[in-house]
Amino acid sequence: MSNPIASMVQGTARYFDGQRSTSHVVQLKLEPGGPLEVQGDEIALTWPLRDLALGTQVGFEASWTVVHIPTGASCQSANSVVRRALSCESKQPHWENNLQRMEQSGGICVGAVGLCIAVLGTLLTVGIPYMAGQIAALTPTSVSENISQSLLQAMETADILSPTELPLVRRRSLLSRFEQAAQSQPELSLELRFYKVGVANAFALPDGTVVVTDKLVKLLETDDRAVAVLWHEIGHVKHRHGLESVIESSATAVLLTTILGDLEQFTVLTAGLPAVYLESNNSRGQELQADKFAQLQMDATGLPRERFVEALSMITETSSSKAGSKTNFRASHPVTPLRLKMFIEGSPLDPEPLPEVRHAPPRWSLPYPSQPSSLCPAGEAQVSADLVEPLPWERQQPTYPADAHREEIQGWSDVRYVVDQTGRPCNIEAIGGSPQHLFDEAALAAVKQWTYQPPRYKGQATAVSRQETRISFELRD
Amino acid sequence: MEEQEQKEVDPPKRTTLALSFTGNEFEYTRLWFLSLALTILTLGAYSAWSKVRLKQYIHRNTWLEGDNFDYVAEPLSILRGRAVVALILVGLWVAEAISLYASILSFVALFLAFPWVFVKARQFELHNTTYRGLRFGYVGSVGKTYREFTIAGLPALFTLGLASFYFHWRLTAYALNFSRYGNVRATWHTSAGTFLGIYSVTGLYFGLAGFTGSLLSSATDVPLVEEIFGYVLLLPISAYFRVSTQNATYRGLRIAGYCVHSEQRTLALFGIYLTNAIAVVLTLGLALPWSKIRTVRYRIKCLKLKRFNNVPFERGTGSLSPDALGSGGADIGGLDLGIG
Repeated sequence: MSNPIASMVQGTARYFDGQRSTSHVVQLKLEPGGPLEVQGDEIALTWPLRDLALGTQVGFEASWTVVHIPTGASCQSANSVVRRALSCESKQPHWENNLQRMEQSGGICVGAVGLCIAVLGTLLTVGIPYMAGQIAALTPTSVSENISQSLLQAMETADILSPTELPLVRRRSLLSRFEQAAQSQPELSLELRFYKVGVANAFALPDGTVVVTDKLVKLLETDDRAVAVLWHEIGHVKHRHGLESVIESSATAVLLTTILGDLEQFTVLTAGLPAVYLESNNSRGQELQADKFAQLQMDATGLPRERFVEALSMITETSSSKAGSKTNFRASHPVTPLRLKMFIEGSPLDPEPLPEVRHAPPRWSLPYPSQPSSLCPAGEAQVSADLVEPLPWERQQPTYPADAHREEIQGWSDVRYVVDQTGRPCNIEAIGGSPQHLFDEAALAAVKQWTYQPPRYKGQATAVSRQETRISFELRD
Repeated sequence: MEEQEQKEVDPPKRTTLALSFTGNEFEYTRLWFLSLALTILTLGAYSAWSKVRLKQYIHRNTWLEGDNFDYVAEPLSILRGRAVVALILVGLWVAEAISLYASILSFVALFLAFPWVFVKARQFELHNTTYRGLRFGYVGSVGKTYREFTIAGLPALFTLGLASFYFHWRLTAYALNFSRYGNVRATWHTSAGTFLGIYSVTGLYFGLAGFTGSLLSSATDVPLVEEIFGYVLLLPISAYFRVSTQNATYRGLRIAGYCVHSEQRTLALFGIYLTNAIAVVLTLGLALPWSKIRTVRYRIKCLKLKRFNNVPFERGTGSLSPDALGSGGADIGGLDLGIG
């Protein structure tokens, strides 16, 4: 288009007449401004340039220069000189040729990759969850009722849910506790239902129906613990998590299939793996939100927070001890020490900021992360497989001794202590360190603040556990 | 002279022709990301161009006897088709949100539209695929398609999916027997028994895998383990299923004096799937186009054509250019039978 050619250009090409699948080898000749000559065995054609259409070019390959001739015939040339000559001489400006120029530019390609990552990353991690929340909030209740009721019906017909066999007394007492809870949330139409299912589970449907299985009620023993779990499920209803998840996962699916439509089905499945991770990540956020709600409501109604922690621990224990009986509650509600600790101690959504130290901030570490030197149940002197290790909930950072900090001295202190039935360290003593005794005081003070999940023996919180740990004091550059 | 020529034609000389693929993973990745970026920037409008150009890249890099295939669809007609289909889908989605009956109705409508989408998409895609200046084509009609879907689908429906091998086999036969290159229709000779065998092996594997999977998942508690484990179990069987159905599909295909042959191996494709999966997970999806080219390259590398006589094909008659509406539906619905 821009620079017409100076002299005649020629090259070989293949010619197809559009009538038969025969490939003819021909010579192309192009005079400046003149017609295109096609010459080969039994072929001698001349076409003015304005009648010809140059096929689109993709990517880097020069051999794809296709010239379409109005009779339906075409020429294909691998000669890059011919291609350049044709694209210069033909009068028709082809905006699609700019696309090829973009495809060949390295800078644009890097930019394109960056743009894709930024847009898709934002959509998947922030955009879709946010929109799902907004849409869930706007969705009329009739829709969520429809969804929930058809879901329940489907599960009933498929025999996933069978009628409850819980004693009426037990159900009545739980129902009345649930009623009290429901009255505090007048904007939600809450309803509690019992079903007999093979697993200990509880879940909430978008319309406010909370389902508890017989197994869970039996497992939790007391009403208090069951109510703690119910508050958590009401939290899901309150924050409309059910609808949110449905909208979120379908939006993610639509987005991924739109983008990956041209890929093979199996490859698309591969792309599903990161999506599964994202989804579980989002659902973890929802669990914490429901926890937070349960925490607030339990505080308000005077139910000790420990009931919730106990309930989760009991569900955890049955699921890990009995192979074959899987608890869904656990799978979708991962119980981590962090989660339990957050529940007991504070607000999970705004963790307390750590105090700042200017210049050379001190660092502390546990080289052997509190390996128990021995473990003995209270009253018994033998180590048994029935013991459950105490898990640390919180480890308070020690304060760096001011004089050591000033003198820039680093070192460690070894500490021995016993975790008692309540999960608190006691009998704390320093058993060595370097430089001697310099860091003992700070280390002891810190360990005193630590908390553990109470060690358990045969499921009872009657065990104690002896621990030894080294606390290092280091200065960062 | 005349005698000599006759001698050349008379004995059916059998020649084996191999297809070759000259595409490059890196180039395709660049094209793919640029396409996606432009699609994002144009709010989806570019997707039609992106489809055409990516297909062109693959078709033009596929060579047979010194000539390559081409894809000649008009991006604008694809864009129109996609716009209409997107509008219909949004309409159905809104209807679903409004009432339960509307959602059932729209589900039935989508279900009934499926054969129509199938035949329109096949017409469009084959019509726009060319080799040596001649178009491929599809001569199945809408009426025949609905008949075929009914005959193929009813046994599967009544056996609760057990007869899905028959559905797959019958539709593949319908898709291929009505395909043509130039003026010659293809014929397909694979028996339903081959598909029954493939489906039996796959079913057996799922039974065993499901059993071991349930044992294992009850033994572990770590979240995501089930998903990852299930996915790893899925890899070898997907490779097997893909390899055997594609081999069976290609092997029975004949057109004029040509027989198609395909020699894919499960182990080889499994290796490709495994490395693809690792690469895609490690790069958080960046390796997707790379992984696509690797599977395409393997599929084409394994394809052979046996030629018994070399009579040129002629241009087919009565080829109306089909509209892209069905193709748009097929793209959005993710419909891909994997028969090229």
